Amino acid sequence: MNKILVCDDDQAITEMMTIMLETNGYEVKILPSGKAIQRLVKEYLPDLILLDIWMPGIGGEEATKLLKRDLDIKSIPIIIISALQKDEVKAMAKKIGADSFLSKPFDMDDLLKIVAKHLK
Amino acid sequence: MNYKNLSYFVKGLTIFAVYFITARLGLMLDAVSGFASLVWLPTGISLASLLIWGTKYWPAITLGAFLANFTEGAPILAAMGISIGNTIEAVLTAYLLKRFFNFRNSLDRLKDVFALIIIAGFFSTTISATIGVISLLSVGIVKTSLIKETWFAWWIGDMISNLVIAPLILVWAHKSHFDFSLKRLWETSFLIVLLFTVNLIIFRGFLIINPNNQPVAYMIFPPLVWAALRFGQKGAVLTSAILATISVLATIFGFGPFATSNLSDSLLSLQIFMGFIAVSGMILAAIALEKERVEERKDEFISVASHELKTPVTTIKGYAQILIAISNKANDKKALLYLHKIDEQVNRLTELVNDLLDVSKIQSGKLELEKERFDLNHLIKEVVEDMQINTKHKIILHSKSNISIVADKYLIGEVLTNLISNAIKYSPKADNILVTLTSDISNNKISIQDFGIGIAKKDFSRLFERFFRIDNKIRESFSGLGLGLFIASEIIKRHGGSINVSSVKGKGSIFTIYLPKKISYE
Repeated sequence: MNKILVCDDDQAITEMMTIMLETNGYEVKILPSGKAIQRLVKEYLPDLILLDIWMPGIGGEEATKLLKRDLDIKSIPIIIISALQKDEVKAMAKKIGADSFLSKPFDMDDLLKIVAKHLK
Repeated sequence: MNYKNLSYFVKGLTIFAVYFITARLGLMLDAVSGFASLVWLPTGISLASLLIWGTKYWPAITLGAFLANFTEGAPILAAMGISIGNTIEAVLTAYLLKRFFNFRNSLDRLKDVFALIIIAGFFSTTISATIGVISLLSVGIVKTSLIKETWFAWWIGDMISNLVIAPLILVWAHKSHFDFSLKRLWETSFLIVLLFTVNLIIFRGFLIINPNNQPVAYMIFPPLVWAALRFGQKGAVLTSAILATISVLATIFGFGPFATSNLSDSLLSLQIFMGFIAVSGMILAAIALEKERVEERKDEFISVASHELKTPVTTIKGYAQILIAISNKANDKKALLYLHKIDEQVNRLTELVNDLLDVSKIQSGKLELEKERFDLNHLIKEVVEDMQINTKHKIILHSKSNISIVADKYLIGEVLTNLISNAIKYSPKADNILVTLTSDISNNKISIQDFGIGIAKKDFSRLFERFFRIDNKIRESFSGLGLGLFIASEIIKRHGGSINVSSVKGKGSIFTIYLPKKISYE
């Protein structure tokens, strides 16, 4: 079973995403902030990371840069998720080196498609 | 001596030195009764220093005023009286402004400007002029017949100093933003040329204009208004100060509309005029800045509120789709129908929020184009195919060749989506929508034609305005904020193109996007 780490400070969003992903056969772990994300990723070793951009403390932008600099875990795909406009999220993903992006609100199908694509 | 003491000493010495030198200069300028100068820089300098560095520097002012007057020949008692008056004036003004008006040195609020005018312009100058004249009177320097004249000269000199010199120092010492960019360089240059030309006309005469004609002085208003509206308080106070310097020098040398045979008479009428100029400039700049801040805050609010709205919308949409998946499995048709309605409405809400975000980005100049090379024909096909899924209209695409362009693909796609969905929305009874891509020598043209309700000619010009909604019975039944066409036209404008509309009421409309082949970005 593929393991997915969902990092978002909004509990309503993470609960909903957990249901979406678990009912489709993924194992999900929630992280409510970007704090200690590097250590947690190394411990849990997820197959994919879904990461919110706007979080208090360490945001998705900084977290992505941190993870992508770490040779042990840089191959884990990161999909950033943000309430920014679609074109802005796209530009942000490109800028910080995330593997893909989703803009809120998103379709469940789009989430599952993008996750499946990056788990190949 | 520790650093704190050293700093106090150096700053105090600076205030003292500047005060002393400017005071001696002022006393040279035909002061009324020998000591009431109409051009009196020290008052403004001392007020500004106390407002910036604190009232604890008052001894520098007392000492500077005492020595300047004493060395000019004032008896020791009179010099002491004058220096006490000048110190009280500066300390009291600084204290009252900070204590009761929450005064900001940047003068970027109307209340700061008014507080300065009332307290520094009228109130404290009255105290200083009164104490000064009494001091001179007590030692017999001022003749009783000249009391009124001396007092008024003293008062005007101090007032202008507080309204021209103090703001100049306060505003420019403040670390507020001033745009020195190349883009502004042209405007700044034109403003400076205008300012000096106007001064040349006022004080030296130019072409047919007679410089001895006082109304010619009002020519200063155009550059002053320009500076205040476009360059903020820094522009306004600098313009006033430049004008004050030129006009005082010109008047002293006998040029311009204020010059008469008597220097103090000339300076008096000039300074009264300067007072109105300085006050007008500062008020105008403060109003412009306040308006700008309201706009900024509004854009910020829209941006934050829209982002906050998106979070619950995401959750609602998510659960609706989870329920759709469950209902699909259970084959619950009724539930599916209702859930799709929820999903549809969430999409509508998302579109509204996105439109608001787009508008606030356009308004605050933050819309950035992500240029890339792509095939326009291909993009139009993609958009049309996407839109076709959700409409009963038949969208017919006429296009021949592939056209490779460099533009923001995402935003151009948004514009197309927007215009096609408008075409669908406003032609509920029609069957077809025509989308045509053609090109001539200079432009690629995309036209979107519907056969719907059409638009009255009188509304064409306002169609692309923000929040514009056509006001009639038929259109009332269509929802929307009136932002779509504004956003679309702004995006196309940023690509150097335009959107054109032609329409016949009851027959339908054609919206044509013109994208220049050599796209120039604004």
